[in-house]
Amino acid sequence: MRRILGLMIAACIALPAAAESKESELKAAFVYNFAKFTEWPAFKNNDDSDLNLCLAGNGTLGKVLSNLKGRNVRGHKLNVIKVDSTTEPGDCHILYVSRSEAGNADALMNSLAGEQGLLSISDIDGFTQSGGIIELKVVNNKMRFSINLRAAREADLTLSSKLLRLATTVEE
Amino acid sequence: MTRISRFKDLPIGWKLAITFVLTTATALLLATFFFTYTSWQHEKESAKNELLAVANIIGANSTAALAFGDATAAQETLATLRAVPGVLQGVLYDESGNVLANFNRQNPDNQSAKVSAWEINDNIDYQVSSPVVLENDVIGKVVLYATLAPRIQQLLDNLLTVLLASITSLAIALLVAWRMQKSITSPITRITELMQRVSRHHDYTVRSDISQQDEIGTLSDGINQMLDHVQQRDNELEQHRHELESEVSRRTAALKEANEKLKEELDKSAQTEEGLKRAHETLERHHNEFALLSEMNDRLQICHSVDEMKPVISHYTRKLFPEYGGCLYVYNKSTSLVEPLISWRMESDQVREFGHDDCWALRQGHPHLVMDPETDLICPHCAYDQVKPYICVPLIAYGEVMGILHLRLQAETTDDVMPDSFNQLSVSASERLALALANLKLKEALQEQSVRDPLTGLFNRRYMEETIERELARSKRMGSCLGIVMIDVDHFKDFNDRYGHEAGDLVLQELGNYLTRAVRTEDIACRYGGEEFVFIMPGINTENAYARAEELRKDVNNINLKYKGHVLPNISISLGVALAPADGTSTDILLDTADKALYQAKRAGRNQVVMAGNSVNTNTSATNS
Repeated sequence: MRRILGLMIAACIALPAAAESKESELKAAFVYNFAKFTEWPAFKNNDDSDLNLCLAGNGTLGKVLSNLKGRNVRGHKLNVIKVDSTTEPGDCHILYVSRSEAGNADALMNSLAGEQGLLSISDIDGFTQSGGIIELKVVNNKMRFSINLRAAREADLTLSSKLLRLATTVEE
Repeated sequence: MTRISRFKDLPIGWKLAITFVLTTATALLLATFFFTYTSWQHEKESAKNELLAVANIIGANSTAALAFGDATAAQETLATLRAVPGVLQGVLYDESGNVLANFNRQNPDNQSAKVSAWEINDNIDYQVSSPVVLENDVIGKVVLYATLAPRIQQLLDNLLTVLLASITSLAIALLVAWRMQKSITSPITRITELMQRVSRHHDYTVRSDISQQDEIGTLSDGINQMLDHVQQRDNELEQHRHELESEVSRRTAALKEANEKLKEELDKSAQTEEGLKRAHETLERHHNEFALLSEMNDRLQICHSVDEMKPVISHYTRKLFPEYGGCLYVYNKSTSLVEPLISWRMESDQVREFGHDDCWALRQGHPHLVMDPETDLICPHCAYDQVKPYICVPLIAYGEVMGILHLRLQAETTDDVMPDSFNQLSVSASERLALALANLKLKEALQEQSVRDPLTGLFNRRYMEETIERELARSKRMGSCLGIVMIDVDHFKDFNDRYGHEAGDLVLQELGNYLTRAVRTEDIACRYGGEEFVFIMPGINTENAYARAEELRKDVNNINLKYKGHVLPNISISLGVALAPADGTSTDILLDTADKALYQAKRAGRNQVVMAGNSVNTNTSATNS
């Protein structure tokens, strides 16, 4: 019964969100591509373990990102994990924070500050000011992103210069 | 061929310079060509490689932009192509083939310019395409279109530089070659000029002043030595020549003296020879003239008529008197006029008949010579002519004057005019001419007597037979007819008996006179014998023959005869006509046929014409009794 109700709610949300779905796909593609331009310290010694993409919060993006599961990024299999109480930050290489978590983003980022090898990405406004590394945003109907390079350095991540060049703003 | 030989004729300096320059120029040209060719090949290859490298760099730099679909960033990346010369357009395609960014050199503002427009652009010489790979995935591709124009320009600039360098080095080469050939050829030229001076002026005192240690120096020394020898020889030769000349002049003088002596002797003997020669010539001329005279005489003696004599006279008088024209005049007793017989080398108005008294030669009976027309007595018969020296010689034979020989000088020269020998010659010639003319006259008279019947004056029977024979042959040749009329006087025997033989002879004489008058020029009337006559008519046909015979018959009827004051009765004749070839082709048959026709006429009653049996019309209808 709840499932049916859930489906109905989902349909209600989905109806006005045909554009939203398109945006989600684009965001998923961006996230996937960010992975390609980033170097993790954990993979430096030819480790062929999985690349874990952790998803915090709810939203249509979660589903779309799930589709990326099993893809290959720099020789590592992409694994998509939904964050729950059991999830350790150290298990994640990429943490995507959904807009639904906008209220406690600051707290989350504070708790994760200085976490090694974690690339934090979100479309929450002011995410990079809050200590996030990459913030997705729509400018002039186009998907853009800004980067907090200091945070990336603190996380011991190396972002490709190509990526940096594309960023609307890079915070030092 | 000519070009080669012309090159051969050039001075050595030119040859060296031309060879040097041509070789250098060829080498430079070949080097330039190969350099340009290999550069071009290299340029073409490297241009492609370089463009590919650029495409790869662009692709690498565009990976992020492609990954995130950032057209602005991609455009910025592509804009760097501006710095790469030759690239006309660069296009960045994304994974699904859409254009993400586009660089267009000629139209930088219009980034959405269609790619296809460039693909057909003539300027595009080549293009490269490079895939953009991110993490082993092909996420797009870079396509670059480029032109070789800047590289060609670069190549041309290089070529120009090389050419300028070539020309400069060629000029330097030419300068060096010129200097070198000068140093080689100037001593040679000096030696050549020296030799020319020697050969032109035979001046063996000049010497070459070149002092070099090379081959030219050796040549110069050799020439100097040779000139020493030649000079020495020349001096010796000159001395010999002087000696020889004096010897020759001495000998020449002696020879000249001897020659003059010889010449004097020769002159003397030549004079003697000249006299002898002249005498001999005179003798020879006399001999020739005598030969000509006797030859003329012989020819004249065998002539049958005066007409035959004319060309003979003209021929020989021309030969005998080559400088004279002339005329042979004959004295006509019946008219008492002197008539020209034949003339030669005379104007036609200078030849005319004249009276016996108009010529001094005729009057005197000996030659009349006019040497100078201004002073001598001129015959009246040539008084009106343009006066020139002439001679008239009377032609006298058997004591009878036959005419004159008139000779007139035609040549312009009056030198040596009419010497005695000429006078003698003209007399000799005239004597022979007179004799020949007289003999011919005699002969003609005899001839006439032998063919004429003395009583009637008609031709006799012998002549008649000859004539018929001759005319038959001629008519056969000409294909014409010949008419023979046999005529007999009717009742002549009775007439004789009644009036006597003298009256009979009168009848025959009158008939003869009539027939003589009646003949046409071609007809011949003959006495056949007794009272029979034959009338020969060549070239006549049957009708005319009959008409003619009838005419004769009628005319005879009208002849009036008087004998010793008595009028005799008119006579009549009977006529028989035969025609050759119809009635016969021989004299005997013809005469016989005509005689038979005559016999018919007699039997039919006399005084009529009968045509022979084979003639067309044997009409015997005589109207008279």
